[in-house]
Amino acid sequence: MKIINVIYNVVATVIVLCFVFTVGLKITDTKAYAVATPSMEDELFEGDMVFVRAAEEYVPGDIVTAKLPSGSTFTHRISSVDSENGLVYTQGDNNPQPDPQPTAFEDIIGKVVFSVPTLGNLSLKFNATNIILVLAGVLVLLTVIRFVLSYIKKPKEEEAI
Amino acid sequence: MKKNIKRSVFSLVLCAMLVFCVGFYSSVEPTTAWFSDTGSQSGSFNMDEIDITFTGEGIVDSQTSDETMIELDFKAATKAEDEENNGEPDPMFEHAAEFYTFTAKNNSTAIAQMRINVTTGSETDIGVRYCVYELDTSTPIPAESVTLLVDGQNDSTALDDVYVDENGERVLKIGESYYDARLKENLNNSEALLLEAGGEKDYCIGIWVEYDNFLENAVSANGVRTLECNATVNISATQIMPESENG
Repeated sequence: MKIINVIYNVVATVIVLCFVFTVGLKITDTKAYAVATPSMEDELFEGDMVFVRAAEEYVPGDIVTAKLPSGSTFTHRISSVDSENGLVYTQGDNNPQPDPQPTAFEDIIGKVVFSVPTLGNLSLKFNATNIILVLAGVLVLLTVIRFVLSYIKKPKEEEAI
Repeated sequence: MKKNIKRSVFSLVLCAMLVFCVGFYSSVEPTTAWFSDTGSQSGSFNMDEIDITFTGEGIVDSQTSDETMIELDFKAATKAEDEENNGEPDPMFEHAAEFYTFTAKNNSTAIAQMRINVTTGSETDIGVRYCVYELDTSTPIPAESVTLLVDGQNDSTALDDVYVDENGERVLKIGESYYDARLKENLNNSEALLLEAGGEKDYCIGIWVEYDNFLENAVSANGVRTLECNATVNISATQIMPESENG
């Protein structure tokens, strides 16, 4: 029983910390993206999750996430900055050629501040809606079972006394 | 009892937090990438899916391939006059640039990027410069009666615009920053030209020669200085991988 409590407390702590971290992302306007391609190896691998925050200035060497004309995004390293025309030139670390067109400053979403390996696989490989529904269902069911068991157990303890 | 209720409520709250976190991280957007066919991403690309057709004069071998020889015959360089030529200014020339138009068509199902590279085969820099731009036939080229427009400064040989003179000849209007942005090294690759899947566009390659190099390499005959060379237009095309869908 003691071990179960310890496990419960550890899991609860992890969940709370994760929740606080996620809320912190929202508060600090930090966005998360899943790396879908190996164009930035060996810095970023397919399946990593990058956390991006807008910066006041972008310099060569920064890894930035920017919007493409199609509306999707890409994450590459800045190779040069054209301040006069408000453009940055980018290239993936693993790509032999620079990106085909420069990116305007206003299309840059932000600079990658840190990344977490493999976390991006959650969105890349699984359907989000299904995950949420299954997880929510399992957790609610476990909680209900636990609640019901506690009621069944209580009268038995009273009888024993 | 109260303790159990509190524990259960707390567990439910934990569940909600966990669902929130999992939901958040499982629904983040993917970031895509630009790729070339020499990169690590798998994919196939056939040059035949891009049709390049050259038009205009001076093409030695016009064919739908990635390499075309061009004979360049410059009788002038990009400068109006040389005041240091024995104190006498050189006359303005009528022909200082060559223009080659081509039509590129992308028959594939993915966007493609093309890069144009012009090489002369010379080991030294003979001053040949080039610029590739998209021909917008919907916007007529102004027909102004000028034969050559140059910038008076030695280091300003930018290709700013193209005019058609009264004889129907295309000439260059020379500016400043355009040159600096386009050509950082001699005979460098052009910026990538994007061609949508199924798309077709007309492009023009403007080729001219730097004045100082022209003086150094031109051959004089019958009072006319001429610089002749063969150039090869190399076109490389790559396919850009489509975006991955977040199922």
